[in-house]
Formats: sequence, C-alpha cells, structure tokens
Amino acid sequence: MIRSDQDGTVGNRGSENGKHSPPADRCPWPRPFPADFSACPAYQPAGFVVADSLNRTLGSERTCHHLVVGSESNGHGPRFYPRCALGGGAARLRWLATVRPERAAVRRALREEFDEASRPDRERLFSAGARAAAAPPGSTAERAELEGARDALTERARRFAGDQAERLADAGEPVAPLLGMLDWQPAPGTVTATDEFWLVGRRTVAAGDDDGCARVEAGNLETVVTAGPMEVARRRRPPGLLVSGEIDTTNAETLGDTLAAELAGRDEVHLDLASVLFCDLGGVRAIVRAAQSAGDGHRVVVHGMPGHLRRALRVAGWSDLPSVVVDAEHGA
Amino acid sequence: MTATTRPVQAFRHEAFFYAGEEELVEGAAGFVRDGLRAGEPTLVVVGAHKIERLRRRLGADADAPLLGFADLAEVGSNPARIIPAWQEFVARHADAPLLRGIGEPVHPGRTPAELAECERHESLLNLAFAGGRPWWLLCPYDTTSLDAAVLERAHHTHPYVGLPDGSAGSERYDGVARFFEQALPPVPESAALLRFDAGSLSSVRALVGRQAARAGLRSARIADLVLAANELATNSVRHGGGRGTLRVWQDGDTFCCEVADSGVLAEPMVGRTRPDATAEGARGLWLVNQLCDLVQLRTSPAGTVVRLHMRRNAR
Repeated sequence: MIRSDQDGTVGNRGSENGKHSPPADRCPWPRPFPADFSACPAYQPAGFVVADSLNRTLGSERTCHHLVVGSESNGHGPRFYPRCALGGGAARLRWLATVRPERAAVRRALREEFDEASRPDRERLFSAGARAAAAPPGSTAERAELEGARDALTERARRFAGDQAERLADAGEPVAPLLGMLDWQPAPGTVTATDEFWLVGRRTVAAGDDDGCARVEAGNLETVVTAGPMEVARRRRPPGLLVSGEIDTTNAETLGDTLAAELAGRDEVHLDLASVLFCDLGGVRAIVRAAQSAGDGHRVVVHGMPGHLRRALRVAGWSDLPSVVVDAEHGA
Repeated sequence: MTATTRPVQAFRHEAFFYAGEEELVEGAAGFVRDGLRAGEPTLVVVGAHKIERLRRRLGADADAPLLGFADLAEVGSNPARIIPAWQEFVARHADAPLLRGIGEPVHPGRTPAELAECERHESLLNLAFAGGRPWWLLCPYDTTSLDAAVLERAHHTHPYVGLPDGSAGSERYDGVARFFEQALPPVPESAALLRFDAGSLSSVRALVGRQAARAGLRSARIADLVLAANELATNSVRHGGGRGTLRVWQDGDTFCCEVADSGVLAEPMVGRTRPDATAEGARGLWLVNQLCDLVQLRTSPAGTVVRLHMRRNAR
C-alpha cells in the first residue's frame, strides 16, 4: 500500500516483512517546534517563511538548522523522511560535546534574535519573489522591488553580524564567510526565500566536524552502565572508559563505582571525558576518590577534560588531583 | 592618619573616613610607612588607580619586601572573596608579631546590591578575625562621594573609626555579626521559574544556559554560571529538603539566577573559607563565590535564598 503522509512524505506503510525500524538519523521530534523547545539538546532554531501553493505567505515557522531531507530506499523506491544532519542520538550528543553546550546556547540565542529581527524582511523578500516570478518577463517594477527587498535583508544581516560580532565569534561562528553567503543572487524567475537567508547558512554539519572526539565504531564500545543522563561505555581501541552525557549528584557515585571496578582489574585506566556535556565538582571528586581507593600503583588518566572544568577545579583549590593525571585539554 | 602609638593587641578593624583622594593617599602612605618602620608586613587592597598614586607617594618604600599591593577588582569584585584573601595574608605571615592592611571594598562605583554585600562583608570581618592573632585593618571610606547612609553603616560595622587626625572606638558599633536577614529586592514578574528536584537538575542547567545566552553572556561565563547554579540546586536537593525553586531573569546588563529552598544555613562564614584540598563538603558555596560577580545569601527559619549575579561583561 502506498500512501501519502500528511507531511508530504511518500512511502510504504508497513512492509510485508513485518516491522520497519526507522533510520537512526530520523528526527524523532514532532514539527513544527514550539517556541521554547528543549527536548533535543542539539536543537538550533531556523525560521522560515511558510507559503501556500500560490506563494502567498502564511507567516513564519520554526525548523531546526540540522534538519534535512533524508531518503532511504526500501525496494519500492525512495522513501523520504526528516533527517538529522548530525546523525542519531549519540551523534547529536557528540556534536554538543564538541561545540560545548554553552556555545550552542549562544548560537541558539543569536539565531532566535536574528529570526525575530529579520522576519519582516524575509517575509517581504518572499512575497516580492513570488510577485516577480508571476510577473510578465521584462517587467521592471517587480524586479526592482525584489532587489530592494533582498538589499534590505542583506543590510539587516550585515548590521546584525556587526553588532553581534563578539558573540558570533564566541559562539564559534566566523562572520566573514557568513557575510559572503549574503551576496546570493537569485536566478531570474526563481526565488526561494526559505532559510537560505538564515544568518548561519545552510551549512550541513558533517561527521568530520566532530574532530577530536572519539569515533564510534560498531563493536568498539560496550555500554557498562547508564545512570540518568550519563552513560559509561568500555572501549576496546584505545582501551578505556568513555563517559558521555552529564555527571552530577544523581550519578557521580555510579561513575565512581564503575571506575573503581575497572581499577580493580588493572593499574591504569584511561577515562575519556570528551563526550561529557557537564560535570560538577562532585563528579570529579568521585573520580579522584575511586583513583585513591585503588591504592598505590593505580592511576587514572583523564582525557578530554573540558578546559572550563579544569579552570573551575583550579578555582575550587584543586589543582593537583591525587592519583589522577589530566591529559590534553579540549575546548576552551 | 597620625601614627598611633597605641599597641595593637587584637584584631583592630578600623574605618578611615577621608575627604578626597589626596587625604587617602597621604593617610595611607603614613600608615604604610609606620608599619614598614616597625617591620610589619603590609597589604594594600584598593583600586588600581589608587595603588598607582600611593606607590608614587611612597617612592622607594613602594618596593619594600614587606609591602604588597593587590587590585581590588581582581581580589574582590564579589565582596565575599575578600575575607579569604585576608585570611591567606594573615596565614602567610603567621610568624610576624603584627600585620597591617588597607582594604577599600566600598567605593562609589558599587551598585546597591553590592553595597549591601560589602556591609555584610565588613560585619563578618569582625567574626572572621575575632580572637585571632593581632593585626590592623584600615577600611577607607570617601566622605565626598559616598552616600551618608553608607557612611553611617560604617560606624556600625567597625569597632574603630578614624579620621586623619586620630581614631577612636565607634559608639555605634553593632558587635560581631548576626546573620544577615535583610530581604532581597523582589524577583521581577518576567522571571522564568522552574521547580526542581533531584530528577530535574538537567533542566535547571538547560534553563540557566539558555536564558543566560539570551541575556548576552559569553559562553565562558555561561559555563561558570551553569556550574554555580548547579551547585546551589545540588545543595537544595541534598541539604535543602530535596527540592527547590529556580528563578532567572535579566536586570539591565546583569543576569540573575536565584535558588530558594527550605533549608536553613547555620554558618555565617559559609562560602568564605577556602576549602583545603581534602575537605569533603562545603565546597559548593566557595566555588559559587569564586565564579559569580555577586552572591547574595539570605536565610531564615522559612528557608534559604541564594541569588547569583553575572554581569554581561566582566568589569
């Protein structure tokens, strides 16, 4: 049975072989996203102008910067689905750990602010584009209006980028390439005023962007324990424990126990924190306590400790952690 | 400030009222020179500009090994950081019979919230060093630029008050600090609110992060604030009845974050003592004081409220 879904995707409903598992990178959240959507930690709002089939604008909606169209073939032709460009849930957390949650928060705030500030310009541009596309060839008035609307939006974006240069740099969004994107010229007769004009562009975050993070390879990781928003996995190559998610008072003891158990079997345990989104002092204390309890001859080597956490430890008066060696810093 | 020949036999916490910077520089220079002549280690914690002027007035004496300077902006933009700095100074010179210090936390640039915390700090100084080794701490107050109310409070928080021509015991001194209970200004209606328990610490962090970013804070300060808010929420969960209420809002160029719970703080010096490396608990409020621009703590039998302030830009 082939049926069109309400959101326009076409595909096979219920394969003959039984249940069909969705692709790992399918976006699991319903759209459109509400204003204060917070269920997905990697969510980055991207506004776009909604129009009907006659190109009449219906207002503005919210999608996610990472949301793209995916397709999979199931023997009956391509099936489209909403795809997260970052990947599945684990990949989204890795992206967040690389970018750092606080930078992601700044990016989100900047996007929301630009969306708000530029919505009238974008709606005007879209309407002008629709009228230009519908106008007879050679008509100058609609063309002039379109260029005026585009110039207005470009100017708005330039001014925003200038005013917010510091925050953009802080969030890791370089400004110069962004402004380069704004000189986009629509080909005559074609206008798409969707989120191409989003300030940070349609850059798809490819897997290569999570440089420095441990690569996940099937079979290389084996989950040891999950506790709330934290997961600890044992990694084969290179050997060690990989912690991801958030460590706080609700699961620090679990982390400590897991580490202690690992130390019972070997002198040195490598602890990879590069996928940790948050760790409080209690979490560090649990690591130190496990390392100390293991006794002389045992030590924990911590990799990928966020620079910010390192600074907080110094501030708290904990520069030298007994039995713990901290390797390269990650993030600033 | 004329040289006082009265021997300092206990902690002498003295307010020094001066009219205009010249009087301060002159008085401070005399105080410092007296100390150096007597071989007393001395630390001056004032604004950078005043350090500069004082150094020039002192000439060669400015480089005496017994004399140290520290920029107030670095030591104590959050007044709760100042007592630990003095504690460290005192501990460093445990062998010296007498020490001297000049500390000016109250200056015209302070906001009303900061002034309230400065007053509390002045009051707690008496508690922090009562019964300890003798040393002399001078707290300058500029009569030409500070409000009369602020100057009046100085009489209540300092056992000794001084003018350039002499000093005496303060008749209005309130004694060693009681726990400060003055109510905080109300939380604005626009504040975002979240009731949390152990299971929602993640939501606390996410809300603080998102709202702080909207208020224009830089990512490093957002990270610091999230860590601080998490410490407060953790305290609520572990010691404050298992739950609490988080409120966050923007106030001009300052972002505020408040955690309220039903716990009661018993220790007035909480958060103002540097924890030693092995200390288990009581590190949370210390960290919060180091990370945030201002921390306001209020406790009563009804519960405890801690309000954090983070300016959009570090001053």
